[in-house]
Amino acid sequence: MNIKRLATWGDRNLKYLLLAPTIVLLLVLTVYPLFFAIIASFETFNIRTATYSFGGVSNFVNMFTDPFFWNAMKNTGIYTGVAVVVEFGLGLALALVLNERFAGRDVFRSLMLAPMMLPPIVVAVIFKIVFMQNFGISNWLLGLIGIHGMLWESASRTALFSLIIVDIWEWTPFMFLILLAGLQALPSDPYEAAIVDGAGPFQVFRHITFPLLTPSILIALLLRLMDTLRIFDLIFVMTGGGPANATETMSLYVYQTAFRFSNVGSATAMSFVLLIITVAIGNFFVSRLRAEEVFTQ
Amino acid sequence: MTGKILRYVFLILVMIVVVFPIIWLISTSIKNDVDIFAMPPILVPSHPTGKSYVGLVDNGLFAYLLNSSIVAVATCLVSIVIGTLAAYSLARFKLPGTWTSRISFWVLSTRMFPPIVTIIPLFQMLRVMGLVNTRLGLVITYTAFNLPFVVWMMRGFFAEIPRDIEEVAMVEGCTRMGAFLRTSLPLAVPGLAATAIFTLILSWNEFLFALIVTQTTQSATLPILVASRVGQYQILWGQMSAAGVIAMAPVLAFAFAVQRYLVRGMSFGAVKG
Amino acid sequence: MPTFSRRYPQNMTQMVQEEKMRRIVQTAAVLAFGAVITLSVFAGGSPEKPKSGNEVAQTGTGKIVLATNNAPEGKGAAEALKQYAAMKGIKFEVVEAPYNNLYEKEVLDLSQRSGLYDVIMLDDPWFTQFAESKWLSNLTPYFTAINEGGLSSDFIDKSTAICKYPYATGLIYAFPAVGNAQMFFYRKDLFAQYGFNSAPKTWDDAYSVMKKISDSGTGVYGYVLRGQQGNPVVAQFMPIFWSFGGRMFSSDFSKVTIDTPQALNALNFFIKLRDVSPPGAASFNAQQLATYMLQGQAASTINWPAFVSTFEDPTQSKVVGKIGYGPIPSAATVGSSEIGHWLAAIPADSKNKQQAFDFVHWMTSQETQKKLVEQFGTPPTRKSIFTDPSLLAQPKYSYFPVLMQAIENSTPRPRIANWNQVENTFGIYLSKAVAGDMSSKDALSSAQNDVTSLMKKAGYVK
Repeated sequence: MNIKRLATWGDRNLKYLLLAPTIVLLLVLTVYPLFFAIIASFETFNIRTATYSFGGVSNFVNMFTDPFFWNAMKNTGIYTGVAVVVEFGLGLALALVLNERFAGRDVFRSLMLAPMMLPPIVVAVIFKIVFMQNFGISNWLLGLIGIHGMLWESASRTALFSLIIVDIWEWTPFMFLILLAGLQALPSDPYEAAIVDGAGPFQVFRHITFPLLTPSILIALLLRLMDTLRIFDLIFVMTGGGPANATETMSLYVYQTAFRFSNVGSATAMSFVLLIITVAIGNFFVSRLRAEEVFTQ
Repeated sequence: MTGKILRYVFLILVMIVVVFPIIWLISTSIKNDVDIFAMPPILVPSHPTGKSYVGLVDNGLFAYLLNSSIVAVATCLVSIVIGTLAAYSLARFKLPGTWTSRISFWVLSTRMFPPIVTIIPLFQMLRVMGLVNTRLGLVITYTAFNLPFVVWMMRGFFAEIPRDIEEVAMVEGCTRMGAFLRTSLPLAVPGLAATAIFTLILSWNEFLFALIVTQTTQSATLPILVASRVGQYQILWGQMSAAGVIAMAPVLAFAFAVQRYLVRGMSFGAVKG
Repeated sequence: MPTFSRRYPQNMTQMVQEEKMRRIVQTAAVLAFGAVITLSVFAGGSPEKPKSGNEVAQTGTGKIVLATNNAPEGKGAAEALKQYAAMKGIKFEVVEAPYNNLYEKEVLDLSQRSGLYDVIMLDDPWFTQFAESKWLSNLTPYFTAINEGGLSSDFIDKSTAICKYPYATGLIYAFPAVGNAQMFFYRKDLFAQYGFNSAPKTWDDAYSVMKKISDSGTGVYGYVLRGQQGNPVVAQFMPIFWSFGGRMFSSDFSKVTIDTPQALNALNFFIKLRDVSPPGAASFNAQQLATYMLQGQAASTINWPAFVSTFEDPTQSKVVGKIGYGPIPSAATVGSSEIGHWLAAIPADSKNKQQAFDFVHWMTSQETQKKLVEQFGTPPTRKSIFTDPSLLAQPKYSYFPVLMQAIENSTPRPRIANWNQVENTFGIYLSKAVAGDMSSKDALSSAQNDVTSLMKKAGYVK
């Protein structure tokens, strides 16, 4: 084969060649884990002999009668729901405010991006120090306005919300970034027309900005939802799932089942449930996005 | 006028909430252990000490820094190159049937898989390949994580760039690849920059897989150093804060420097027709 | 998933391309599947026949990899390996990890039989699971090969007992390396104010002082306990549980005995201790425990010997020189602390067992262990070092007699392979009781139920 024939062959099959490395890498690195996980989810583990045996669907059945599983689902649902909604609202507000030109805008924008750049483990450390009951700055500040004894992540009642606060602190910038980028890309014509028509700011937002921003909104929500459903690092370091399982989300429970209780079969079975939920949500958003014709085919 | 004042007030309040915890971390990293949890809290210690940082150096800080840097840069390069090519293919070429959307969704779905479950099979694979406790092992792992994001992002950018530009170049004698390299790619640089930044940050910050794959300072990254400051009975808060500061400093500096690119790069309408 | 619609191809080209695409995907799938099968063969997803037989492995790799804790107990082993390797001219590698991560790393390596580690430091509670799963090498043949009957009689009996599986009577699977057992830590100065010039002997005595301190209005709490679910609260509770005569199981583990009158007394007393502890103690773990004691805001607690050096460190402690040590106070029976030694074992899949054994034998020998004690301040496991006059003369080892007595009177955590799960479950209910979310009676009966089902699932209880 001479160079010219190679080049022509390459040119004709270019589309496959370009895709090939990605597909191969992802296949190798996801097929085996998927295969492993499927097999494992049907195996039950005997901790005394450390052997696996075929257990049929017992992992799945046991899962649905396991109160810890439902607790983890509940915690994941609350965490994801509250965090994503609040982050979205705050992120949108900030994006709108920081979209206009004014003195110091760039400084504010740079600062605003800081939290999401930090390693999650560092964020966890920061807030463990800040939230330390009798010795942390947060309680001292609250004490100044008369609120005492807040236990933050150490009390089961307030732990999940303390973590949600940390998540909001860390990831609102992400929403902000995507929404701001979307705002920056909006065309100016509709706005000019609206001003001519005498529309007020709320009307402008509701009828022009929000609809045009839909693709960015969908992407922001999709990415954050996917990531929050799988959240692990932050919770692992801050509370390890405690106290009293109050912050044990699905990822934490799966981890504990796989590593502390050595029950990999049960862990993978639960992961599949989580995966199915995530894929369903992803599918919903992706089909919406496609409807918005973001990606030209 | 009140609108403007309200805006500044709102922003300043938000900034305080955003920045204060970071400042607190820096403050903790230069305190003596006794002062860290003193009440009332001390913002600026009367006797600041570099003891925590020195302690980190004694514990192999430079090795961790080196590993983090190498892994982050290598992952970024590999994912960007491989992912951008794939993204271009998906954006420009029509695959038969519904393969394009199937592949796109599959690429995205690899980001949905809960990471915990991939740990054991990944560990097995790396062990077989002899890549446990190696930087290469981490790079391969992180590339797999980053590819979906890179493909997803860059595909959007390429979709926004009109095909005409490439057609013109090909009429003038370029091959497809040539047209891509000469016309579309330069136009997509803001998008590339934004994606590259995210890739770097993700690799730099990643914790769970680093925990599993790395064993010694031969390959361990900065998040491992932060986590290693947890003792069985007590946490070395000073050193942990110092490690945190070191882990976040480059990222923050970098983010400030490229903030403008990030915003511009993330805009999906980077090129207006 | 996107719908798999089958549209009629518009023309020949498209048909050809569809076919090409299908063939490519099929080839890729076959290749991937092939790779997967190959990997499964090599990776060994399910355990093969265990290798911890009775032979002494002869071939070595000239390198020892040690997995250890990143606290002083673990660093001692790392330092020992460094010296040993220099002495013998072999290569070595130390994998250091924080406590929780060390367990996960070891479980991953041992369960996947990857043979990454040649020597592992393990905390005693993990021992039963590792031994029962046949993940550790039987060390008896190695002792025989050097004409020793087993672990030296210089090791404290209780220390040797936990290294055997079955407990105290079976084969040897580990060396006792660091002699941890809980002690009662108290503020000598404050207890003296209320008439106690030495450690209180009974819980009633101790409590009376704690109450007085808490009520004195000086802002100091009489006690600080950790109530966080799981290991923290269980480790705090067990000594009290045992000194009130409680036992979790019958001696052959066939019966669960959590819901008993003795246990109820213990739990009620535990809640009394909570009332003289700082608020929020229901969710404290080891860090908060340490902070309250170090900042001088709590007057007593149960804790591990590792804290002794911290209390005497002026850069960390506000109570240098004021802390005294005593055995766990008694109630219905003699006070008994949890024994929590760090053990050194050799994984069954290590490729360098003989050398690993040689190293650990050397590391726990009288001279080396004494040097490690002096360098790292970690407690020994040998009677000769605990009673060594040159050490006892130094104030920083003043707690040695107390600790040795504590070890001799200690109780190991139940020797069951699923202790992690049982401790976790027991800890949830204890934590709820301490937090006031459940009554003591309900907590114990719920714990009894749940632990019984766990024991049934594991095959201990019929």
